[in-house]
Amino acid sequence: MVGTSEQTAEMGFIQKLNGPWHERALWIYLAIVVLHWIEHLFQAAQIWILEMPRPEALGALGYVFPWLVKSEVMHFGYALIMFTGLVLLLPGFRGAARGWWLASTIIQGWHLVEHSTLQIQAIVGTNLFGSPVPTSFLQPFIPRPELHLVYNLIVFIPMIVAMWLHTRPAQDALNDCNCAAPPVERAKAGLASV
Amino acid sequence: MGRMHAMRSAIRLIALLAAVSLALPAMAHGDHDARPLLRRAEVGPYTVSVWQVYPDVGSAIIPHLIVTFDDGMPDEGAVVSVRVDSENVHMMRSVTTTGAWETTTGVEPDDVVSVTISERGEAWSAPTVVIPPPLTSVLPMRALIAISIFLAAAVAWWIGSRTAQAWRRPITYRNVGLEG
Repeated sequence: MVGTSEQTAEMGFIQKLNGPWHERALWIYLAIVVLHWIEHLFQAAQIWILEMPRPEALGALGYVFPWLVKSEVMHFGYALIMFTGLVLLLPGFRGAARGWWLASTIIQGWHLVEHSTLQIQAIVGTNLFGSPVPTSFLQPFIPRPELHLVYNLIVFIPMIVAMWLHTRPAQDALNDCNCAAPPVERAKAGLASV
Repeated sequence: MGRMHAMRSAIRLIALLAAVSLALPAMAHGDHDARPLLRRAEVGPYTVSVWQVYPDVGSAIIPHLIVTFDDGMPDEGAVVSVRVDSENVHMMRSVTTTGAWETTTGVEPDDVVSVTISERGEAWSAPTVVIPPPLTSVLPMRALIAISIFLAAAVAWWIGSRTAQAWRRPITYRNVGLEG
């Protein structure tokens, strides 16, 4: 069913975000996620493939802005953006896709708790486990670059599964958005001559 | 009308407070890793720990040592000294960790470190510590990275194709809460 302009004008932001805007919002969001993911992989490759000393493995952005990696700004900000995106876009998911997206949201929720705890330690000046530096809950067992790489991976995988399920053609009847709608022909979209 | 105005003002206030509370963490300075070399050792009247830390200053990135006092700070007159392979190294009060002393130079694997606390003519030494080899992975990191790179590349390609498709499609409104 296609709504009229009067009806759609009454829709709130969250309804629009999970309806007509869901497809575009989802792909923009995923692009942000992948860019951050690549940054983490870059740092991981520096440590475990190029075997650079850990303090020198600053990722791609860290080469240009070392303070960005060493401060908590980038990590906390990204964790917050990612969690917010997961929560805001959740209502648009239906069926099994919703379960996977929810799983990703819960794991990212824990990841955000970890980063918030790191922030609080940095601000207050008292750290967990008597450590001289801000420390994650699981950091005594797994060093931080590995731990947060794994966190990001286990958030990323269910997110991709959810998006794959959500965009399957069979899902179109369930969705309130266009994410699973058939592709638009370039000619129909008026792009044939572009 | 007045109620709506009050609600909008409340939302603006909440947004402002949220922005301020986010600014504080943004200014906080973090660090990466610190591994314990000695935990809660009894040194005279004090309990100390020794950590190897990767400092967060861009140019001085040699792992160095921090001595933390776990159960209360020593008096102002107390001096913490560290010897690495029997040679004294320069120590200073830590500017980043409250109640701690730190070296200004790094240490290498197999260096032998001893910590001494001197106070009012008395001195106490902690057990010597041998700097262990660099950290090793507890996870199969190379395999994890290979899988992750493949996954990221596949998803990046998928994003490219689907984003182009999403932007070709006109935004249409359907179903969303319109049944009623």
